Amino acid sequence: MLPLLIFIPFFGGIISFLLQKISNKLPKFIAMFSILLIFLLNIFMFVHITFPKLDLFCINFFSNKFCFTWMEDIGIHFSLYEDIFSSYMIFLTTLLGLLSIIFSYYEIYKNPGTFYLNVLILISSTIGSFLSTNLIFFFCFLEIIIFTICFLNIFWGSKDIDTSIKFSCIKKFFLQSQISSLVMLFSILLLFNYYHSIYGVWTFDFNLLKHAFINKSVIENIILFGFLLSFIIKIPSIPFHTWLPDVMLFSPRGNFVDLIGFLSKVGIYGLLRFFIPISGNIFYKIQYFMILLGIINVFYGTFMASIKNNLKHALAYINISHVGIILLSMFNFNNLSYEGLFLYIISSTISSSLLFILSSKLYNNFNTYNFKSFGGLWKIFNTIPGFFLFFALSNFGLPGTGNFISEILIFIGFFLSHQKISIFFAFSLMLFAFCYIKLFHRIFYGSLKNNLKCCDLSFVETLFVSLLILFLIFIGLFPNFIFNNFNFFDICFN
Amino acid sequence: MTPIFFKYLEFFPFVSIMFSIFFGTFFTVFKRSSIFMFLNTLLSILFNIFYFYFFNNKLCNINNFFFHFDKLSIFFSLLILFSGLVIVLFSYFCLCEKNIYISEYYLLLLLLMLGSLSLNFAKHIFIFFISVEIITLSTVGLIYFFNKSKTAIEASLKYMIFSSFVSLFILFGIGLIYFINGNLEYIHLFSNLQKYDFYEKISIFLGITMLLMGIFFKISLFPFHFIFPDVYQVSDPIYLMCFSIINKISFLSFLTYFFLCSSILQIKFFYILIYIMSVLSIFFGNFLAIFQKNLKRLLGYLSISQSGYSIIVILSLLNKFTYFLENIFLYFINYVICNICFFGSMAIIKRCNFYIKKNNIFSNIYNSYFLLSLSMFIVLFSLSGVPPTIGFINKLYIFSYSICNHFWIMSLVILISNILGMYIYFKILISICNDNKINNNLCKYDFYYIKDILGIIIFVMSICLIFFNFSFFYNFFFKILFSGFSLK
Repeated sequence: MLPLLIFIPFFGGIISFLLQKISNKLPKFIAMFSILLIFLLNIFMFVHITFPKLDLFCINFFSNKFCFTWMEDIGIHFSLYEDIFSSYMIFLTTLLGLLSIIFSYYEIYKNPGTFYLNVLILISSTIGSFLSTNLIFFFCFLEIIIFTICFLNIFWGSKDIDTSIKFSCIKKFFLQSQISSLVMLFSILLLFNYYHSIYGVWTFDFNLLKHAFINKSVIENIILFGFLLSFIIKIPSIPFHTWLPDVMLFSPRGNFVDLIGFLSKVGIYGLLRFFIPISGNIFYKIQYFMILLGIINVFYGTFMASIKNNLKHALAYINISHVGIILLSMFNFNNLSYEGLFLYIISSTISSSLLFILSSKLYNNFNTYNFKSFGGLWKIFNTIPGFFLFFALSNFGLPGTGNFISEILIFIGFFLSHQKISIFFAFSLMLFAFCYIKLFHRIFYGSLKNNLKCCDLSFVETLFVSLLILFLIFIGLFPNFIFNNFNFFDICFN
Repeated sequence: MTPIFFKYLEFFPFVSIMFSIFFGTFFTVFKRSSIFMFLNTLLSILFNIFYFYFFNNKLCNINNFFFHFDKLSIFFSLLILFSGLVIVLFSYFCLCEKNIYISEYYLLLLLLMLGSLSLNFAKHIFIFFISVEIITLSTVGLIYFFNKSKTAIEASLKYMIFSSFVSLFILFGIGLIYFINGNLEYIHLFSNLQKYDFYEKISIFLGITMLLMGIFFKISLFPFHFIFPDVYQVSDPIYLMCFSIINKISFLSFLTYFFLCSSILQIKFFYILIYIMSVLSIFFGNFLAIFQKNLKRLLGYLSISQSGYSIIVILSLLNKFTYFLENIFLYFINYVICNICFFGSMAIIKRCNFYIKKNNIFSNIYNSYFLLSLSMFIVLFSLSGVPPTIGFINKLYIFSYSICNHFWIMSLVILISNILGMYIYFKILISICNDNKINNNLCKYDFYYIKDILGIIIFVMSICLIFFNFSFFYNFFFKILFSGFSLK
C-alpha cells in the first residue's frame, strides 16, 4: 500500500512520457488521474490511521509500515512509515499538485510528456521523503526534488527573461541546495558512525538512530548543527534565503509556482521529524537564537515585500516572513504553539499558493510581474480581485479562516513562555497589514494603465478556488476537527 | 586439448595479441584496408574475453615467476578488454571518413592493449618496466594521430619528454632497490626490512618513492598533473576514451596489487604521502576546473580529481571494516561506463556535426539527439554522485570511509571539493540544455543508422548506471564469471 503512494505518480509520469508522441493532451489527463488516485488513497490511509476501529477494508492492505531490504550489510532498507503528521503533509502535496495541474490546463508546454514526467517525479519524491524513515532514502528523495526543480526551471521556465540571468540564478539555487544536502549527508554519516561506535550495528534507520545520543559529546553538537544548517537552507530562513525570490521568478509559466513549496515543506517536515526528536539538551541552548532568527525573518520579509516592485518577489518575501512564524512556534516548548503550527502549515500553504496562482494568472494577461503595469484591475476582472482579496486577508489572519486560529494559538503559546519578546513580536502584525494593503492597492485600485483583453478564471477553476475557500473557512470554524484526536506535541518530541 | 596448451596457459592472451599485431603489419605492407584491421583487432579482443571467461579458475592456480593471476586482476583485465571492444567499434564507425592511416591506428591500439594487459598481470618489476614503456610508446603515437596541428605536436612532445624522464627515474629507483634488496618481486620488497641499517633503509625508501613518482605521473596525481589538461585539449574524443580508461585502469590495477602484496602501506611515511597526494589532487582538480572555458581542458582537470578518488578507493581496501570491499568493483564499473558514454557521445556528435565550435560542443543537442542527451544526463549525475545512480553509492562509501577512520581534514576537503565538482558538472549539464540557435541547421551524416546503433549502445550502458544495488552487478557479472567471488 505505502509504496503505491510513491510508485503511482512515478509510473504515471513514465506513461505520460511515452504517450507524448500520440497526443499533446493525454499526458495532462494521466497526471491529473494519478494525482487524484493518490489523493483518494491517502484519504483512505488517513481514515485508517485516525479511526483504526473502523475496518472498512482488511487491515493488511492499509498497513502503515513497509520494509524492503536493499543493502543489508550497511543497513540501508527501503522502509516506509506513515503516521498522522506525514499523512497531513502528503495531503498538502497532493493538493498542491492538483492545484498546479488544474490551473495549468490552458497552458501550452513544449514537450508536455517530459514536463509532466518531471512534475510527477517531483510529487512522488516529495511523498517519498515524507514516508521514508531510512535517512539515506530521505536524502535521495530530497536530491531528486532539487534536480527536478532545476530541470523544470531550465526547460520550461519563463522565456521573456534573459537566459543568461536565468542560468546564473538557477546555478545559485543549485549551489546553495547542494551545500545544504552535502552537509546533511555528512551529518547522517557521522550519526551512522557514532551509532556504530556505541552499539556496534551499521544502520540508517532513524527509529534506532534516535536513541544514539547519550554522552553529550562534541560530535553530537556537530551532527545537530549539520542537520539544522541544511534544513534552514531548505526552508529557507534568513541568511540563506536569496535563492527563493529568483527561482520563484523563473518558475515555469502557467501555475507551477508551488515548486518551491514542495522543497520548503520537506524542510519544515525534516526539522520536526529529524532534528527536534534528537536535539534534546541542545534544543534549549539554541532556542533563543532561533526565536531571534524567526523575528528577524518576520520583520525583514514584510519590510522587503512592501518595498519590492515585482509581484512575485513580494509574495516570495511574504513567504519568508511566514517561515519566521513557523520557526518561532517550532522552537517554543509549548503544546498550544505546536497545535497552532500544524494548522498554520496547512492554511498558510493553501492561501499563499493560491496567491501565487492568481498572480501568474495576472502574468498571463500582462506578460510582466511589475506593479507599474498593473493598477485599476478591479474594473476589468470579475473573479480574480475578489479571490485575491480573500486569500490576502486570510494570509494576514482574517478571523474565521484557519490562519486566524493558528496564529492566535501560536501567539498565546508564545506569550505563555516568552512574555517580553511576544510584546515586541506583536508589532509584526501591523507590518503584515501594511504590507498586504499596499500590495492590494497597487494592483487592483488606482487608474487603469493598460487596456488589454483579459481572460478571467474559467468555470472549473472558479469552482475549485471556491471549494478551497470553503475548506479554509471550515478549518477556521471547526479547528477541533484536527485537534481532537492527537497530541501534536507528542508526535514531535517522541 | 594438448598438455602443452595447459602448460603455457598464462601466455596465451599476450601471444594472441602479438600474433594479430604481426599479422596486421604484414598485411598492411601489401594492402591497406580498414575492414581487415578492424576485424583483426576485434577478433583478438573477443578471443581474450572468451579466454578469460572460460579459464579464469585455472588461471588463478598458476604460479609463475613473471605473472600473477588473481580474481581482482582478472576483473580489471575484463574491464580493459570490454572498453577496448567498445573503442574499436567506435573508432571503426566514427573514423572511417577521415584521411588518416587507419591501419596504423589499430596497430597502436593493439600495442596499448598488450602493454596494459601485461602491466595488469605483472608480478615482477622487470615486466612492469617493459609494459610501462610499451604503453608510453603507443600513447605518444596516439596523441598525435588525429590532430596534426602544432599544439598536438607540442602536447605529444611534452608527454614524451616527461615520460622518458619519468622512466629514467623509475629505472634509477629499480636499481637502488635491486642494489639493496637483491630481489625484484613485489612480495619480497619489504620482507627483511629489519635487517637493514639506516642508510640502506633510506636508499630503499628513495627507490620506492621514485617508482611511485613514475606511476603517479602516469595516472596524473597532483604534483605531476600539469601536462594532462594539454593532452586532453588536443586529442580526439575516441582517443580520450583510451587514454582515460585503458591507461589509467592498468596503472590502478598495478597499484592495487602493489599495495596489497608489498606491505608498503604499513610504513607510515608512504601511507601519509599517498594519502596527502590523493586528497590534494581531488581538491586541485576540482578547484582549477572552475576557471576553464574549454570543455576538453575542463575534463582533463576533472580526470585529475577522479584519479585522486580512485586512489582513496584503493586505500580503503586495506580498511578494518569489511563492507568497503565491494566499493572497488562499483567504483571502477561506474568509472568505465561513465567515461565510455561521455566520450562516445562526444565522438558521435563530432562526427555528425562538422562545423561545431570548440567550446560549445554540446549546445542544443537536447533538441537534435534526445536519447543521447538523456544518457548524458545520467552519466553526469553518476559522475557527480546524484542519488539514483551508482555514483551516489561510491560517494557514500568514500565519505563513510573518511569518517569511520576519523580523517576529519580529509573529509572536509572532500566535502568542499565535492560541492565544487557538483557545480562544474551542473555547468556542463546547463550547456547541454542551452538553447542557442547556432548548431540548429547541421546534422549532415551519410550513415543515418550508425548514429542510432552507437547511440543505443551508449543508452543501454547509461541505463545500467541507474542501479539497484551491488547485488545487481554481482548477479550479472561476478556470479556468472566467478563462483564464490571474494578477495581473500
